Amino acid sequence: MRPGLAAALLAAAALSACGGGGGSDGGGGAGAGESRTGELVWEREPLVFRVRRIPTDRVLVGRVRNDSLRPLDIRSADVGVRDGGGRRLRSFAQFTESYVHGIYPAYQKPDPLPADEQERLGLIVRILPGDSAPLVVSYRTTPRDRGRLRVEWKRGSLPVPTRLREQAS
Amino acid sequence: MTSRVLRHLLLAVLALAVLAPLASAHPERGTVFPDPATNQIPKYRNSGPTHVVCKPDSLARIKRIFASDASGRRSRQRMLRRCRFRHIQAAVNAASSGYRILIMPGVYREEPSRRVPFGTYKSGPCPNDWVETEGFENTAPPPAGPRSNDPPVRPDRNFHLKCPNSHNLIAVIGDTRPEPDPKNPLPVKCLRLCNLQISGYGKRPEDVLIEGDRRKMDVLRVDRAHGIYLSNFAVEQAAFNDVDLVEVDGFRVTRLVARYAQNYGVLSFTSIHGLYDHIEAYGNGDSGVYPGSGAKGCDYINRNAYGLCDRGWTAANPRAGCGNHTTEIRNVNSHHNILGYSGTAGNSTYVHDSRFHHNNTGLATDSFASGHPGMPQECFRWEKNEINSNNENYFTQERQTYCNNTPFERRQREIVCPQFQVPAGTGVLIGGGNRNLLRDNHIYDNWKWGVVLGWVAAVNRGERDPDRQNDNSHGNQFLDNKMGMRPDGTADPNGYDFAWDGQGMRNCWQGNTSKSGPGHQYQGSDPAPPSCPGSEVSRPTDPALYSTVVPCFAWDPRNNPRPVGCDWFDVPPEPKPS
Repeated sequence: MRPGLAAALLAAAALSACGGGGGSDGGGGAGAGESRTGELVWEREPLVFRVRRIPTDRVLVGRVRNDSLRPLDIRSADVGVRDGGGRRLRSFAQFTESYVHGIYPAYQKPDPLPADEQERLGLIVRILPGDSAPLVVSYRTTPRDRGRLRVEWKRGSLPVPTRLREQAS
Repeated sequence: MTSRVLRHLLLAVLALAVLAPLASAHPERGTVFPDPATNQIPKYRNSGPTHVVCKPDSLARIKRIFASDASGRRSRQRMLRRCRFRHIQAAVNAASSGYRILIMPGVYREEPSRRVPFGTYKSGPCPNDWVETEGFENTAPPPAGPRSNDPPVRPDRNFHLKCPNSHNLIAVIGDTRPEPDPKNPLPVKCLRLCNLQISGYGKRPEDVLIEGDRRKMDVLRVDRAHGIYLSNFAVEQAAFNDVDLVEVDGFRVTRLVARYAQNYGVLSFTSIHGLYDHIEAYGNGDSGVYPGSGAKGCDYINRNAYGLCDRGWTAANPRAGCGNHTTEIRNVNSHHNILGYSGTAGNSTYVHDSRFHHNNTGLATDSFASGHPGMPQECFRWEKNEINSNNENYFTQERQTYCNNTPFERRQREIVCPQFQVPAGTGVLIGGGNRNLLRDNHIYDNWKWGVVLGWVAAVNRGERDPDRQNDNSHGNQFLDNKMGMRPDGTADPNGYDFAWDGQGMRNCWQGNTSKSGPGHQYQGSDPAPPSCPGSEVSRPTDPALYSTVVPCFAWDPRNNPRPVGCDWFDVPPEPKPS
């Protein structure tokens, strides 16, 4: 077995086995089985973590698969979280599964970043048909949030699981 | 159009013209390792051909500095009579290989260099000597998203050869050959200015001050000048690096103060046989010392190609293939920087008997970024250091507002503005390293993490080979460290002594002692980290831990100073001894 494949399988096992109850957000529901719109699907139910030191904040960790027959080019800036009423929450999305570091210092960087750098940083992604990509979305909840949260992009949306997990302690 | 509108437009154009040089990219050109590297760390020489540099007030300074040291005063006065240069660059230009350059007490602003215009891509001196490089080959289909109008270009070696003082206050350029293809640099050679010795001739380093103009990228650039010996001066206020050593085989930097650079105090890059010794570094917007893209110490790999120092390892000795260290760092006191030490691809460093304290983060080494030869990071040995109280926080709203509103040229020199995000309150951060040894250090009073270890997907450094995605975070050992206690044994807890995302094989923790108290010793998936030799099964990274760090990427001082989901920019409360 190739190391990359082995790691992917182990990562899948970890994602499905990762425990730790921590309450719930939103209006209930079964999770990833709920309907999606557009070409993207959750490869498996993503995990949502409550940020330990910022109780309003959540971090969703998952993988999205392109279920269509054509490549999808997505900008992370076009990915966000909305509540059931359509209000956009403050959020940030990135196609990555580990911490990423830019090459340009904060006050000495081109704007916009070169496309290669954006791709390396998970700010843009191309997902071929049948392929998947890691996705991390952080967002801030407020008491005004209504109904089920959804991760939204330009061409569709995906449900956010309601179950919350705790970060490592 | 009203005159008021016109005036505003004119002001906007002027502002853009002033700010244009700030929009330059990371200034390091494409580099290769010196190979073969046959040089050694240079030794001090007290004889040989010499140029003396002085200022009109050097005599007065000598009399004041050596008022109670007649012998020291007389030797300086004798040397002062030989002074023929007012500027260090002029003395360098007049020197040949093997020369000594003695700098008498004074403040050196290098006015002739300052008058050389700052070149930018397609404009100013050497407008076409720039190389476009991202540091990795992009074979993927064209991605979505905007194309930048500011291409990722850096001054190439021809730029530094032909316009040495456009970006550098002082340039020591050892290879005089033009670079026919800057994307594929010629093998490294030193043809002139090899084995140069540049020394301050005061009592303390601060007696000889080399002051940057806050516009030149490097105050002192040493480029392919092998065997350089730098000692006994202070250097400050570079727009990038106070001291920058690039593709150097053999260097010693000793008795130096490096401070108030926008990014790095002392930086070495694709260099080998180096020694940082007795350096005080503070007030730098990235790190005090940066031995990045270090040569790997194993001699059975091609350093200019992908390779791992993994030959002959055993479960008991995962570091068997590391070979010798290639850069030694000792007696360094690095404090009040964003990072005391950092080194992307900082391979085979031996850091010992040093202090890293009162930074935002003490030391970091990683495989995070593209464009850094020598990936992935491997084989450091850090022993007998004091890593403590790294709880400074330069990410406060007030600080970031000041930094956003004040270009580097106009900032107060003592105010540190973060150039990258780091977790405030952290002693040691290892992001994607292999076969590193952290042994017998005192690590205490870091309120977030004493030591944190995590994996970095190789694709995030631009490496697309599927077989290399998990090529890091293996074989790291944490042995016999004293955690949460000062050297005198007094308890002074860390937030967590150790944290690990659980990824990788043969990582192990053994013999560490702690006074951090219950609940402060480990953050991870398991109750405790594995003892040696660690696990032969590579586990995946734990999302419960990496979810704490990924959101912090979003930090941008102008557009996102407080990213959602990131808790790095508030130092945790001080943990109390139990």
